[in-house]
Amino acid sequence: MIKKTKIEVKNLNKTIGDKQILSNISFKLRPEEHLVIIGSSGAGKSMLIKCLLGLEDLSSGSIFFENNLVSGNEDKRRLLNKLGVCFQSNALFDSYKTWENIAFKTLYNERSPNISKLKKLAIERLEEVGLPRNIAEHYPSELSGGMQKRVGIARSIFSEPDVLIFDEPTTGLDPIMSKKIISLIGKIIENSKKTAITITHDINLAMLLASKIILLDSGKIEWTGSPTKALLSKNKLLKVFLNG
Amino acid sequence: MKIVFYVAYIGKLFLIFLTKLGRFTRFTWRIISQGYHGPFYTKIFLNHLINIGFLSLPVVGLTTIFTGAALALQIYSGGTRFNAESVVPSIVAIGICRELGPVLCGLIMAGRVASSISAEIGTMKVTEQIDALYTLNANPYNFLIIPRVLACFISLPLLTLIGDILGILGGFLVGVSTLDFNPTNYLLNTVKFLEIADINSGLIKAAIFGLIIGVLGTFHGLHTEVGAKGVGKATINSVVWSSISVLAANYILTEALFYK
Ligand SMILES: Nc1ncnc2c1ncn2[C@@H]1O[C@H](COP(=O)(O)OP(=O)(O)OP(=O)(O)O)[C@@H](O)[C@H]1O
Ligand SMILES: [Mg+2]
Repeated sequence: MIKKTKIEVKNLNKTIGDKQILSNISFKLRPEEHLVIIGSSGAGKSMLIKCLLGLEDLSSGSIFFENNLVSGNEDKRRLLNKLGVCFQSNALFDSYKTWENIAFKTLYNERSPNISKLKKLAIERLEEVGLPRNIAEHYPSELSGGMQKRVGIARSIFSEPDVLIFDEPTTGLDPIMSKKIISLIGKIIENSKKTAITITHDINLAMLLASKIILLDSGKIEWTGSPTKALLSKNKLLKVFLNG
Repeated sequence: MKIVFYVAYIGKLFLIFLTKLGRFTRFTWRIISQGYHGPFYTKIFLNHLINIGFLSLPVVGLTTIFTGAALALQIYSGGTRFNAESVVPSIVAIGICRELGPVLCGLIMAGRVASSISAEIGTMKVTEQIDALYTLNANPYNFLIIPRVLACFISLPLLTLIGDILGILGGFLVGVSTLDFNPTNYLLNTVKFLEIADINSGLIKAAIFGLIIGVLGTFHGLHTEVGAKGVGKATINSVVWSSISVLAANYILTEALFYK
């Protein structure tokens, strides 16, 4: 049996104005694969994710989801519905309580949502990411950065998406909290057996959790391969990342 | 050589203008099409109606009451020059209802509402909350923009109506207390020459101003450039453009529809 590809990106280019932000990006992801994208600040990692999500238009190239070309708004919407995304800046909604943030998708997409049931589910998710249940009634601004990150992760897994995407889940956190979040993501990926894409500066995360690594530099794929191959690679930039 | 430089410069400005115009056209078109497809978030809309309309009452009320009072004094001092003091009540009423009520409301709301709308949406944009809305299957046009535009469209005429009444009241208070008008006469004269069309024309103008403020406020917010500086710039632009547009629209509407 041929293994199905979950996501394929083919010759993706993105320019804004006369600035080339991504050039000729191609990769394939099978189900249950975990892609980790590393690269220095401004390399275009977040932009790559936004192109993948259809939030930014591609200048050229194509994206396939389960071997079907994603084109047009209806396709994009269908694809978005299968993804769970945790953004770099958390993107929690300030005027909604923590539990409303977590259950947002269901809360605002059903005609008459069952509030008490959703709240219970949201609290379960809170506990899954290691947060106390009493913060369900707090607003995001009342939480610490690390807590907000975890609420963002809880929100991204709430409706059991097909593909998980985390943009810099450990940036700006202390080493202890980073470790906790890394193991949390590892647990989520392992339990759900889902495709995942994580962006990070954190080489530990990449080596621990990735099944495939892409090193992005000035919008180009500088190196790609598995963590074991990464250790053997002679690529200079990759070595800089590996040696911290 | 120099001429080439200027031509290139003008060409570049023209291109920027066209890009902006294209963006704006696409934006308004998406409001219409998303509004048509739904969903409509009633609760969010009602919240904005309170925030935008109800909470603007004090500032609109104070502005119009003082303006009505000042207007009465000015018209009185003008009127005495040809023994026509008695026109004060009717001119105050007509002036407020046809012109000052809607224009003042429009300008105040451009400052108070367009700025807060664009700052709020702009902040959401730079902190990726707009992106998050898309990924959570809540279209920002339905969720953020349409409720705000509609709330502006509905609250401005209502605020203007209240502003009209308070403006006339301001004139009345000054008329009775400082200018020695008989209260009953003042009120009778106010009503005598005021036509329904005077009030209606002001309310129609106000509704259009509301639309302008809502659309420009949300447009600048949604097109905020990255960074906190972007939010500041978007806020300034939204206030400047909506104020200018309100004044320009006021002239055009007056000339085209209500000037007889
Ligand atoms: N809307 C935009 N307009 C113009 N340039 C942009 C825009 N968004 C991103 N860029 C540019 O694209 C490049 C890549 O940005 P991106 O946010 O993808 O970087 P990144 O790899 O995620 O960096 P970081 O690790 O700091 O998050 C940067 O040089 C940035 O300035
Ligand atoms: Mg980034």
